[in-house]
Amino acid sequence: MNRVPLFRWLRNISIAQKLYITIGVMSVLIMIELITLRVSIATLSSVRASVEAEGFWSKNQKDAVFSLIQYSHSGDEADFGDFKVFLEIHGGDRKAFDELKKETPDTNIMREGYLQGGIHPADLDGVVNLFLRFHSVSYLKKAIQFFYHADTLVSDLRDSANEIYAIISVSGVTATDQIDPVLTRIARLNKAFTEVEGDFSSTLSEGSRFLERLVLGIVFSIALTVEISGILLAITLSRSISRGVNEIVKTSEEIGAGNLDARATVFSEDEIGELARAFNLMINDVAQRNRELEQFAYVASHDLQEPLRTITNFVGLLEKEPEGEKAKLYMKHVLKASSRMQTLIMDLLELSRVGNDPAFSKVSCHLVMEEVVSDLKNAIEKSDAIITIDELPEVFGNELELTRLFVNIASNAIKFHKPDVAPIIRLTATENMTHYLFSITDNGIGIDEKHCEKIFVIFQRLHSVDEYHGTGIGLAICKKIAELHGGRIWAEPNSDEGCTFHFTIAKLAE
Amino acid sequence: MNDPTVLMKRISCILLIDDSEADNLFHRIIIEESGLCDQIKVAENGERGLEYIRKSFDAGNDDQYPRANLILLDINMPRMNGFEFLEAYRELPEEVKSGIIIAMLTTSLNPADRERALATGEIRDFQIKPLSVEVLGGIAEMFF
Repeated sequence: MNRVPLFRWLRNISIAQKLYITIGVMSVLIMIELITLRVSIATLSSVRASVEAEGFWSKNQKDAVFSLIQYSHSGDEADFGDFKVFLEIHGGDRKAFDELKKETPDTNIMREGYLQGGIHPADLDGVVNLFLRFHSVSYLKKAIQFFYHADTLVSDLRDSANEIYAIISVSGVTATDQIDPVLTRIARLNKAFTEVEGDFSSTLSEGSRFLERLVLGIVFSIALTVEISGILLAITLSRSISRGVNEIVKTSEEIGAGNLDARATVFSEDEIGELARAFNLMINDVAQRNRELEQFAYVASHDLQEPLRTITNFVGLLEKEPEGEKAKLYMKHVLKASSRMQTLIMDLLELSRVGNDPAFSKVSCHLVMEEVVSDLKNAIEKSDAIITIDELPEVFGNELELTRLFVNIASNAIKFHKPDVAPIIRLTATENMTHYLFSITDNGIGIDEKHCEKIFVIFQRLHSVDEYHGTGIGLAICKKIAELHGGRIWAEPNSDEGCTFHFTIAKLAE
Repeated sequence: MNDPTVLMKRISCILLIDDSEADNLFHRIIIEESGLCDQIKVAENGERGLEYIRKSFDAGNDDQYPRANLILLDINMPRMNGFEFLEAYRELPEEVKSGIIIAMLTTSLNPADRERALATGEIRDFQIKPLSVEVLGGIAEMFF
């Protein structure tokens, strides 16, 4: 049950995080494996040292019995001294094991004891740790029991030795009839020693074999875990990456084959998922533009054909009737249509050029408007227009296109004036945090609220060509320019008369 | 071919709804040449077209506003285009619309426009400009 949210979480984190987590988990597992190996090698080595010490103890025990027999024949104090060396060694071991039985054993006393019992100084720490850590493990517990069993045998041996010593110091070595029964007892003790020594060392060996199997098992299972989890993580990771990438590849091939409706499925929230999402957005945009272009082609061909057809029509009529008043009328229409066609083509060319020059620079709108007014000088004089221009800001944009934008808006304001009313036009500018807002107000024929959006669509005209000249491209150009400058354009009727065009230009960093 | 004398005068009045002065002139010449109809009226956009239809109904078919029984409708017009005209036309009372055949006469090569026009149910024929005597004869034969 827990796996599902875990996998979902894993799927949705970034690829970098996925890789870090995979490597992190691997490292932790390998560290655990190394620590296990280190601990088990140390333990096995301590067991080896303990078995070695047992061998040393046994050899000395045998030597002690031999010295005691020797002493019973010679009465030589030196032989009895050799026996005492063994007692020393055993005493050391006993000191250590007695300390181990305490609630808080003193490791220093244990070290002293084991050193005296014949453990190599380099192995001291290992042996002390072994017994401290594992003294309640069955194998060590049994071995300690065997040691204390041997301890009772040692005290019996000591008693027998003291008996012989007393006999020899009182009656001399000749009192064999008194010594012999003691020696028989010692021989029996020696046999018991051999048995308990065997038991002790075989118990430790058994323990070390068990430990060996245990360590092998642990190391093997950790290694297996490392491999399995590594493979699983790698498979999960690579599958989630390749699934997402394959989906995008498949979709782009489909789109390449012409199916613009194809979209990539988003499988995860990581970079691949983001890529798929961005890819889909891009295709939405492309498909939208494609549709617009298709529509544009129809509309453009329609509007371009119209004057051409008029020319064909009237030339056909002229052919039948080349002279006279009617012919003059036909010719007038032919000329009008030709010049309209020319204007249409020029305007279309202008529209297609918008955005071709990406160079942005500081543009003084005031200077731009001065140029616009001088460009429109004829129209202004003809209509007696009065143009008021407020203080205008300096903006960051393309000077040529901004000039085009101002020309189109201003010439519209002049063109759509009321019959026999001189246009009064006012240009103002304000700004907020992100944009400059330009507003051009006129007192012209105005615009119906419901047409305010339509007029920015290419070839949309509100008036017949014969009423007000125009191609229906000018405001489409304005819209494109405003959008290229991070702004938008809209129109609204004034409350009294005329209308106001607004457009914004984004404040960009230079 | 159609015999103009048989069909003659069956179309009592044609209303051209088109913003193009040149097209209206040319169509007038073609209609006159065909001899199929004597009365030709022109509305330069959809709004004017609707206005004429209402006026001619109210005037009771007098000389100044004869009732049109064939409307040749352009699509691409300022203010109110052909489709917008059809939407408004649909709302007119049945008696105002009775006896009127509407044919689209346009330059639109967009198949979507043709489908849309025929889907409205008001459009009986869809013709591409320019109008010719033959096309007009065909319309007359089919509907009058």
